[in-house]
This record gives sequence, C-alpha cells and structure tokens, in this order.
Amino acid sequence: MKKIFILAWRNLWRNKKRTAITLASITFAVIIATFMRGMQLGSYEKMLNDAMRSTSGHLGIMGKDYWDDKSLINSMPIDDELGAILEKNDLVQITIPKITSGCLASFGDATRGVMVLGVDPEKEDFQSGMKNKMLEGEFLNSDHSIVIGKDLAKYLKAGIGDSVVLLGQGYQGVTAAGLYPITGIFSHPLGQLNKRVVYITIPTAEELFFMYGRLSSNSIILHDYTDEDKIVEAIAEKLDTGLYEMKDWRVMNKEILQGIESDNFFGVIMIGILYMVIGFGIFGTILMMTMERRKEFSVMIAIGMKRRKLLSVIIVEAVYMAIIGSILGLILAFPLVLFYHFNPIEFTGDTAELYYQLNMEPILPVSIKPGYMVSQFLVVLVLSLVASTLPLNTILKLDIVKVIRGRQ
Amino acid sequence: MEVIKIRSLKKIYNPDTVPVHAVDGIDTEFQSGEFTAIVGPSGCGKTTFLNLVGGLESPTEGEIFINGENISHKKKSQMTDFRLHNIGFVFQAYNLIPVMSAYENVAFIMELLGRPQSEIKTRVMELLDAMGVADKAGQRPHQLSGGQQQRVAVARALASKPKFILADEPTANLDSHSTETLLDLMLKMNEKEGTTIIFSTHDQRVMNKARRLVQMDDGKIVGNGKPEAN
Repeated sequence: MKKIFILAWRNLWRNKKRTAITLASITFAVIIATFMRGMQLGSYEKMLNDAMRSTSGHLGIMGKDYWDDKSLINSMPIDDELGAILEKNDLVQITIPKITSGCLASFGDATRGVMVLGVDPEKEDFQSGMKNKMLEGEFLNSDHSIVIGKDLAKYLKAGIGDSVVLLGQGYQGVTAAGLYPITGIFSHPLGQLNKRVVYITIPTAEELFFMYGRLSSNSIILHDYTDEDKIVEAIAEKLDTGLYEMKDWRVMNKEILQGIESDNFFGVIMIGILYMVIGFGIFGTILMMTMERRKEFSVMIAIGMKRRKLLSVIIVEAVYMAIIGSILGLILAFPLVLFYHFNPIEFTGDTAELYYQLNMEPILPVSIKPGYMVSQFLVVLVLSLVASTLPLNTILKLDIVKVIRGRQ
Repeated sequence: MEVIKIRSLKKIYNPDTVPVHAVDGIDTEFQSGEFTAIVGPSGCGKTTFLNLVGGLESPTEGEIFINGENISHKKKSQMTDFRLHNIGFVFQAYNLIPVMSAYENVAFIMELLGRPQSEIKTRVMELLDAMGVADKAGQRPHQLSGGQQQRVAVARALASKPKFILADEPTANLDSHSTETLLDLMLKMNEKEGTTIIFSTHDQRVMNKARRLVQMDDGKIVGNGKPEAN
C-alpha cells in the first residue's frame, strides 16, 4: 500500500512542468472559486444580517394574524411574564419592542406617507446604531418628539425644531393625530429609511395610536442565531397561541431568502462552469499520464501487478493533484478572503444608490465561514476522481502484449 | 522434473479475416533447471510462443501445464496472480520502472508478494551483487547503461524465485561485451538458483551459450536438441 503512494508521488513529478501547470490551474480555480463564493455568501450574510439587525431580529413575537395583516388591530398586549423570561434568558441578547404603523407626515405644503416606528431609544440604538447615524440633533432624547431621515427632512423642507403633523389610523380605528417637533435627523445607509421612517418613543406611539399596553411586535436578537430552537422551546409553554405567534428569521425574511436562492443558483452555475474547465484540464493531464505509460503499465501487469493496484496508483495521483492544488489554492485565497472580510468592497455612484434603494448597505464583505472553503476542496477532489475514470478504463482494457510489442 | 508441458498448442491471429498461424501445433516440455534458447527467424513465432507459455496471451487451441497445472483457460486476473508467483520475465527493452531505483525495481515483485522487508533487503542485495550491479542499487534506470539495466531486469525476474524465467530477446539491444556478460551471469544464476530459463534469440553467439536449442519456423518446432557449437 505504501508503495502505491510512493509510486504515485514519483509519477506525479516525472513531468514537472505538466504537473506544475495542472496544479497551477487547480490552484487558480480554487482561488477564484473561493473568492467568488466568499463574496456571494458574504453578501447573503450581510443581507440577512442587515434585515435581522435592523428590522426582523432572529425571532419575532407578534399578535396573532399580525404577520398577514400588519394593522394595529392585530397588535398584541404586552405580556410581562413572557418579557421577564426572555430578559433573563442568557441566550437572548436583547428584545426590541416596536409599535409600527403607517401615517402621513406633513409640514408646510409637503406631505408624505411614512412608516412611524415607536421604539425604545436605547434598544433601537443597540439594534441599528441610530445614535451614530444622527446628522443633526439627538436620537429620541425625549418623548413627544420625532426623529426623521435626512431625505424626508429635505422633502418636507423641515429642520430641527420644526413641528411635523402625523396623521393616521390608530388602534381600533381611532384617528391618530399629533404635532411633534423634530429633535433629530438621521442618515441611514439603508436608503429607504431616510425617505420613509419617523422614529418616536413607545410612550409617544401609545399616545398617538391610542394603544396603551400594546405592541406591534417584539423582536428577539440572540447571541447566536443557531440557539433559535432553544428559545422557541423555552417560551413555547408560556406563549398563548390564541393571542400571539412567533416567527423565525426565515419566515420574516422570506423574500430575501428567495432572492438569495435564485442568485445562489446562478452563482453555483458560474462556479460549476469554472470547475468544469478545470476538470477537463485534470482529465487531460491524467489521460496523458496514463497513455504515455501504457507500456510501463503493461510490463507491471506482465510481471504480476494486479490491474486493480495499478488503478489505485492512478487514483492516488489524481488525489495528490487535487489535494495539493486545492490546499495551495485555499492557502493563497485565505488572506484575500480575510482582507476583504474586514475591509469590504465599498460601492459608489449608481451601484451604491441601487443598494440604498434596496435598503442595503452598499458594501460587499467576503464570508469567512469555513464550510464553503472546505467544499471547494471536496469539489476538486470529486472532480479529480471523476476525471480519472476514463484513464482507468484505458488500463482495464489494456492489451499488454500489443503494447509491449509496440503495436498499440 | 518437468516444469512446463505443452500439448497441441496453437495461436491463430485474425481467425475470421486473414488467419495468421503464429504458433501452429507445438508439443514440447521443459525440465527444471534448463537453459533453453528458442531460435528461429523473425516472425517464426518465438515471441508468441513465449507469451503463451508466460500466460500473457491465451492459446487458440491446446494446453499448457505449469508444474502440472493447466493454465490455458485461466482468467486474466488469475493469470496475473499466477505469473507473480511462478514466472519471471526479462524483456528486450529492459522495461524497468523509471521512477524506481535499481533496488526498488528488484524489490517490487517481492513487495507485491508481501514478503517481509528484512527478507526483501537480503534477497535484493544478494541478487544485485550476483549480477554485478550492487553499487548501482540506488540509481534510477536512466542512470544505468543498457547492460546494467538488463542485469537489474534479470535480478528482478529472479527476485521471487520463480519456477522459470522467460526472456524475449534479452540481448537484442546490447553490445557484444554486454551480451557476453549478461549471458554468463544468467548461466551462473541458472546454476546457482536452479531456475529454468527460456529465452528467445536469433543471435548465434547467444545460441552457443544455450544448453538446449528449440528451433522454430512458421509457428512450428522444427528442431530440438543441444547446440552443435556448445
């Protein structure tokens, strides 16, 4: 057995240039594939993280039917006992209560439909870092005030100190109306928020929408999203399913996940094409290595080496190439991936604007999850094994007498 | 003692198109310890005959018995195993494995047989020494002369102590000096190890060294006996 590995290793270096070229092509493909896949997965992670951090959370507790009809009539009563359980649970990083409803915001002659978010300022800051996104003023330093996005302020031609009318429908159909001074203007990387969002405190929202002791939703952010099931289990008994329902991030970000799925499909096809080209390269090398040694193989069979053992020499050669090429590729790709993970590619101009319009931060971080890197290695390994199939057939069908006599 | 017995052996190539009777009804035996040359003009069927005896090809008709065992109808995989345990081969073009040293080439067959390393080491060095190439043990085939390579090939053929060795024109690529040396060494090993050696040749000098000559023509044995000049 040991001899097979030694033989395969030496055979690999019989034609150093050819082996080096094949290894270089595998290495290069692994670098490209790893980086491409890393960018793709990184963008998905970013997308989901943005969505989870800034809106949905990892889990969301909401009133029954609220998910299908996001009107205040489907809001939920605050359950203090449930809240206490969540606050005490070590797996939970924070819970973020919200009252959400649409309104008209009006100042002077300008009016725009906005989303009013009633939030706990500290928790909201934790979730979306709003204090650092303030252009002017402060983020909800008092009740009975509002904080608006820069584009909305521009549209309304309103600034700090100006009072904006909010007009909408409150809980159970009452009219929600109020005049609130602007105490802060923010600039959020997610473009739509700058145009459409008005922040108020929860007490102000309760007053505006006339929904005391009620919330639209309570988002739960976990230290580790994989603990999601444990939390679901922990609160399952306490959750009155007649009043509440719980949604995980997959359900709450269904559209994003669907988008990711279709984008991922094309990404995988692109990488598949790249690997197919490399696969033919590996195949060519192994085929040449086999064809040029037919006489040697014939002699080996003649003196008593079983074809099965010869096949394993070829397979080990292919595996060696796959291992060396892909490990080299991963070693070279890793610093690149690491660099762009911590220094994401930033988009500017129209692309950035497009990202803002999609409510996404215009950056492209590269994922550093080890899973996809390991899969590059496995793909190359499988490719090499597949590529060695035809040459193996050559050995199985070798007419050793003809080959030794030089007639084949 | 009879090592090889051959009965009505025939090999016909292209039987359905243009039949070529490469071996045409041979009956003969080879005794243990013989040093036999198969001689005859090019195309007379020497190589085909050796290939049949070595189990590299299957006969169209007839039977070959090695130590009483009929090998004519064995499967390819069974034959490979049989060759490993019973037959040594020496080829015209040496055919050593280029990525292995002389030592490794000789040790290779013993390793395939699963012999212990200590036994392999002793046997290989003994053979390389006997063939006068012990000092080349660590060198690869391309670092050896043709004569040295063929001596290593003979050592390889002897390594597993086979029942017999088949050598197809072993001296065809060698100069006269190397030919002389190789044949003397093969004779020496034939005497020392008692291995039956059958080789093909059309070189008169080589024929003179043989103890028995089997003359072939048109796939048939046309002469069988001791060489006149020997």
